[in-house]
Amino acid sequence: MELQEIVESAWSAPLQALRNKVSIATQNVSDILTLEVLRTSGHHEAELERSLGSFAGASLDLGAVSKVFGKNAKKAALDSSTYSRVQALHQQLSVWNIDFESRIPSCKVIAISDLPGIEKQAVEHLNQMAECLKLIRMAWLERNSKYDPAVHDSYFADFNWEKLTNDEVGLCPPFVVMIKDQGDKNLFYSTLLPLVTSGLPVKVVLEKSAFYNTYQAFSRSTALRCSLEIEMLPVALKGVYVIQDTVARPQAIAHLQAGLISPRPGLFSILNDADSGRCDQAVLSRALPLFRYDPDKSEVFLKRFDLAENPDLKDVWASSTIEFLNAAGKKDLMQKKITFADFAATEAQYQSDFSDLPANQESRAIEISAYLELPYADRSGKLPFIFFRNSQNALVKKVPSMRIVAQTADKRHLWKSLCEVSGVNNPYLTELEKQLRTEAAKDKESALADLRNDLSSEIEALNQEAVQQAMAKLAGNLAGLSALELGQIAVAPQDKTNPFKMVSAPIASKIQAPVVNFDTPYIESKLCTACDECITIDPNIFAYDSNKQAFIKNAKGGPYKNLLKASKKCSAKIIHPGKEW
Amino acid sequence: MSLTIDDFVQKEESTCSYGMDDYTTEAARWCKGCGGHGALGALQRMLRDNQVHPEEVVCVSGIGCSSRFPHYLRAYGFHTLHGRALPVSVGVSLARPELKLLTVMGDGDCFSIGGNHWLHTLRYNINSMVMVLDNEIYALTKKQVSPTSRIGTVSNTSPRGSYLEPLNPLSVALGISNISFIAQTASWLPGHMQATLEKAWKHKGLAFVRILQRCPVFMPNAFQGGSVDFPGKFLESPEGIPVDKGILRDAPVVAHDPRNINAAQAVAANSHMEKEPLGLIYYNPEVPTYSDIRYSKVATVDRKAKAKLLDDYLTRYSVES
Repeated sequence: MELQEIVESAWSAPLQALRNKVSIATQNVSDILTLEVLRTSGHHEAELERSLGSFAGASLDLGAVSKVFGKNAKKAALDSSTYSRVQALHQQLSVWNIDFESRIPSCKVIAISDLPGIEKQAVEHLNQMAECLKLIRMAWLERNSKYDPAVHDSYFADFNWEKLTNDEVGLCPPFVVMIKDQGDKNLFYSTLLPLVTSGLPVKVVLEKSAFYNTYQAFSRSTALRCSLEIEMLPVALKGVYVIQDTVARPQAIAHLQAGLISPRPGLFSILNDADSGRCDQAVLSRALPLFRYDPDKSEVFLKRFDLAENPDLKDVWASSTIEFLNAAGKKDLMQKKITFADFAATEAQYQSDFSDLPANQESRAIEISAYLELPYADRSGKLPFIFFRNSQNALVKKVPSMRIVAQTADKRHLWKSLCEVSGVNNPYLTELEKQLRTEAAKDKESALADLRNDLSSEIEALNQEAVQQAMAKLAGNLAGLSALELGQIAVAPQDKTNPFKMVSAPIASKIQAPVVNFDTPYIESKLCTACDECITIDPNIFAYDSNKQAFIKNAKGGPYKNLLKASKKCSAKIIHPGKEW
Repeated sequence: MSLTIDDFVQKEESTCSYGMDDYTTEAARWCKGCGGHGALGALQRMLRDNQVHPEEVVCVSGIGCSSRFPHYLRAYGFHTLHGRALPVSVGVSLARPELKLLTVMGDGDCFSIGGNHWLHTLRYNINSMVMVLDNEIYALTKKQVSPTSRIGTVSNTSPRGSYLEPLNPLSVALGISNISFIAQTASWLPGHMQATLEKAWKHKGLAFVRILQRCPVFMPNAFQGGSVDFPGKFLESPEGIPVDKGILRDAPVVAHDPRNINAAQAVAANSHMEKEPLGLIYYNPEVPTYSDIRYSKVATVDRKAKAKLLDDYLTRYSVES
């Protein structure tokens, strides 16, 4: 599927729902007008024939029917201003109903150089959509007879997209601009950034196909020339909905849809390649980190920034098992880390950046993933390489150029930064966790030591007590004393107060009963069955509230005896007459 | 969760806020102390709380005190013949399934002269809330025994006291196939009654609600006069009706599974012997409604073709001059 189709399909369901609502709104307004016609002239013979159809029309005496119905015919149910307002609304809605499709623009595929003029078109589109929602809203107000000219006329007079709420903006088919990423990042950012920061909910789809980066072929592995990375854009523009994905992933449509209905500006960087294998490799090698930044998801930045769909999230490089033919010509498997260099080696544009590892350099060679983990000082003298599966399916060692090494280092740096930004790997938390673990281990040790001490002292005390009791028993036996007498001379029990025993605290405050004033008359209105008893006895004292349940409107509105009588008669027994005044 | 276009329209609808007056036509002319006032008030409060469009409600009734409901409820109304409210409701539910249908009857109207219609409409499971205001007497015609009058009730038609045990409408209803909702409440429990009506209103299918009420003129002592001593027990279940004891002094709360027909039948069968059950007695939202069944079988009626068929048939008997 073409990227444009994917973007449009992400929006098709809400668009259809909006289309249906326009039809229903048109029908509703049309019904109001039809009803008016039927009220005023529905009894005319011609109208009756039209309503009944030719068969029934021919079977009945339409003149007689018309005469009977004509007795109750009204001049007009709607006043003239309402009628003309509904008529105008019907006209506008009918136009929308007929050319709805042509009024909703599809994605605009434009060149980057055309970006500056696009703002005006976006405003026009949004106002067009506001007009559509306004008409639906007016239709529903008319349908429910709730259109109040004093309130609504001025409100709808200058209704434009700025009056829509965030949610309502989400209902409008978005203004989508599709741009091919042609690698010129400076032009891209100088024209794109003003658009996404213009305050318009414009959605920009950035169609990626290649991975360009301007790295000079310096003989060092540090990239000096830096450029703004789209992945880090949420940090700078925290109110823009940003995603990066590939067309090969089915989840991309759902993410796109969520972004398109967001009331915020959106930037969707999508790798568009029919070769899903290449898309997967780009994701696997961190050349294209998948991410989603939804500004409205949470107040916490970490929860707004989502990296979770990347493979081997916690590792710097994702691992993959590759199949190859070994020296003996047999199939073999190898688990290896896939770096950006591994991906670049398969890209046509980087072919010239890879050379075979010279046989005499084996001792210096080190795999690039390990190489990049080394401190700069230790890298000198080392030669980074990658395992590359050649056309014969054999694994060979290839040495990337310094600019590829620099780009791989840059991608590694970017990934690590993203992990920190999204909370996948927070160095402060890692440090804190380590510290807490050490402290917990220490606490555990000391708690164990305390327990051991307590246990040994308790055992000693029990031993002593047992010895004392045995001695007393022995002495008793020797002296010929009874068990009772023995108890009296028994050793005074030790203080065995349990330090953990719960001691009930004295009650600080006494519970006070709520103060009810029985002198004033009142009704437990919630329990009122609205039986009309009290209201009939004295409507000056009792009345119904907004729930149609009785309350005392004015206790002194009538004689006290009426209060007493109502209280006695009340079937629910919920009228409390209070004290006579 | 993002806003959908349906929510947007709903929002517009919710801005049209309805109050009690929007569901009221005139002051109800029932006797003072009548439970009808409470039932009407609870229904109006429920409609207001759910912001139901009055023009989407049809209230059908039979004949009797309670059947004056459509006069007092601002909605479309149909005050039909004695015992015939339900056949009209079946027609409304089939012709206009999109409308909210409410059928109101009394005990004499529903269980006696309309008994056959009642049984079969329960089986049809039409999409309607059916309220039976049961005061155990014919009150509009000034005191005659009804099918639910207690044995020994002295009335104009039974001066020596009625001879038969009353009908148990709950047990009868539970014996009908396709039954999907049975609840019981009382007019002196306004909170519980409103909650019951709300649950019934939201049920798709026939929601049979029996509302116990006293008649202050001809049956003032029915149900212990609807007093604090009324012997009721509340049925409690997670999907049931919230317990609201209101004025009742001593009303136990018992656990009950409304999905279990055997448990529901046991509760219904004992209702006259011990305490009256209050709450959701039986509930099965999976039973299809009659409209669903009928509309699934016949997608559309080809009116033109039918008219032509009839036309052709009649032409056979035409006399050519």
